[in-house]
Amino acid sequence: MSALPCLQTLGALAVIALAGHGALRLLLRGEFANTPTPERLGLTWLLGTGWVSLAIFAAGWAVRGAALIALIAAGAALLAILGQRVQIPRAPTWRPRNALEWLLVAALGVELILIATWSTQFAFGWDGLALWEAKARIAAAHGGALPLAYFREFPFAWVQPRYPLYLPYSETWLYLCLGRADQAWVRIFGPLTYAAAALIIVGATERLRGARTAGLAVAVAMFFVPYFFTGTWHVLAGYADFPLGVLYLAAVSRLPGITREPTAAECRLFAALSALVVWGKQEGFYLWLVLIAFATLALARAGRWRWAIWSAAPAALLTAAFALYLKFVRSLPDPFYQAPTPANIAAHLDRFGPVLARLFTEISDLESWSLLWPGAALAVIALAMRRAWSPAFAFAWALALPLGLYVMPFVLSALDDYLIHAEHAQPRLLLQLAPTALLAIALAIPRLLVSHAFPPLNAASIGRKLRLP
Amino acid sequence: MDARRRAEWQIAAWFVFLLAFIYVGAVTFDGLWRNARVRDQGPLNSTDAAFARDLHVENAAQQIDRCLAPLPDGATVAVIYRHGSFHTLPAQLLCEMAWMHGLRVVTLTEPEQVGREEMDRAGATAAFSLGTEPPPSLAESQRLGRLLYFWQKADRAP
Repeated sequence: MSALPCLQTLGALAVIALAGHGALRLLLRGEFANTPTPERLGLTWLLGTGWVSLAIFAAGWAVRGAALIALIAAGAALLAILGQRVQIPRAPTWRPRNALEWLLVAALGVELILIATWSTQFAFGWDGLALWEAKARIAAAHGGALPLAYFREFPFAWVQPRYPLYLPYSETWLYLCLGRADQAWVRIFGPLTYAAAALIIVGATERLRGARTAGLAVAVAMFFVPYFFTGTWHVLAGYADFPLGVLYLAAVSRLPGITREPTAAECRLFAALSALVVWGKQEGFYLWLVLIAFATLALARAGRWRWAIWSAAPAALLTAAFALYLKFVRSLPDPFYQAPTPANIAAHLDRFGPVLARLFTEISDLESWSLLWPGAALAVIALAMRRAWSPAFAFAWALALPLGLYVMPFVLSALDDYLIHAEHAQPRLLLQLAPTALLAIALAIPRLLVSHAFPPLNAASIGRKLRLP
Repeated sequence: MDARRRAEWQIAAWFVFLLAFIYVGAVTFDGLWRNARVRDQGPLNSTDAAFARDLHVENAAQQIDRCLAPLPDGATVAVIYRHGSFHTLPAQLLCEMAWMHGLRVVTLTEPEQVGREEMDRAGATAAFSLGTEPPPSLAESQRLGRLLYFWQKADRAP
């Protein structure tokens, strides 16, 4: 293996880390210290990849090649510098506190090494290759952005030109830094996204007053959700569903805080993460509706209407901008689904029952999901019985509503056999909710000790409220 | 029961749950090895793996690139395959590769009905045919692998 691609890949990752770290400090400001280190690392990856993909989308039409690389790197450096200028109280150092936690950290480390090794051995799956990675390859071959002709002239409508570009443009960033498309190097995205999910589960459990050991144990147990590695759409296959699931996990983990004691910093980060949920994949728009409906209700209850509007604004703007872009490039329509018009829904009402039954079969498939879904249901019940109302409501809402909404794509399937379509595609929709289900389980495990390395939620402990920009 | 005792019982119950979770998950873990594997760490190793698995073609990306490179910009390439079969993914990849070479691509999804007339109607000067053998009208195709053939119009051939 030559050293040059290693250095180029490290350079690409460094820019992602700089941008993500800077953005996180700017968004959280004083509350940065309240976020445990593992969660910060996971969020850095999400915000950093969000930055490079959005920057390519925004600037790629005007700037190409080396100039685009320089522009994105300069933007990341600027974010890092601005983030570093924010005054932040010193955060407590995060380290395992006892032998059990050390053991769990070691187990998580071994799992991540195994996953990184597998990622070099397994090929991308169908859509991972022909849909997501191909977009990155075509964009890189055109200096960084997909040519307009791709959206309307491509010989295969199956490439889903209307899908958002979070994953393809993140991969394009790596290809630009490497100077060529490389399906071997680009597979680092799988293990890094998995690591981000595990770290967010560990950190968010602690931040939301759960037991740190429980967060670590569930992060270790995540490895044993069979579908993550054995399913058609597994986390190393290059599909956008798992990254979308991690973005959704990060956004949902902010909902209990917004319900309990909303702060401007919490709303800012929630707004950024929920915008990335929309940017992750087409279904992200429906997940965003679920998120924003909950946040609006919680913020309205607290009399924070302005914050509710600010929280919805980035995703709404991004959705509108991408829709306009697709209109401008005269993108081909989606060949798989009929438009969700009342007439189409009325015409296929008979499909609701069979699709719901199929969903239930999928959820109860232990060979694919182990005890994940019964565990998530138990977790919500356990949280409610402990009167932990804000996480109980937030997770019940964030898991149950999307399951209901995910019946619709197959009711409106344009394929000849909608049940085969459902059988094939439903698991990947569940993959989008699986990381959130794991966090619910981690939070349901009670703590024995009351003392906490991190102060309870939000900026009250810092003694100042931050205003939205 | 005091709160601490209750929490201890709950922790014990969740501990058992997590053990069961790991056990049930581990039982089906051998499915991992059913995933398609790459054969090397080349820049198009996933593409090569897809062609090797579905069409038994070795070093596919390089072979296909060699076929496409001499074709003039804007030339039309036909991809002949049976839609809905396991040939659909490689057909889609072939379309992408040809399109990236600046070529026009048409797909013909009823291989047994493809004759020279259809090729002329589509304006195709080259064709990839996926299946055990090429259509009779393209019998002089070059074999790239067990289930992939490349045909080029005689006056275009290098």
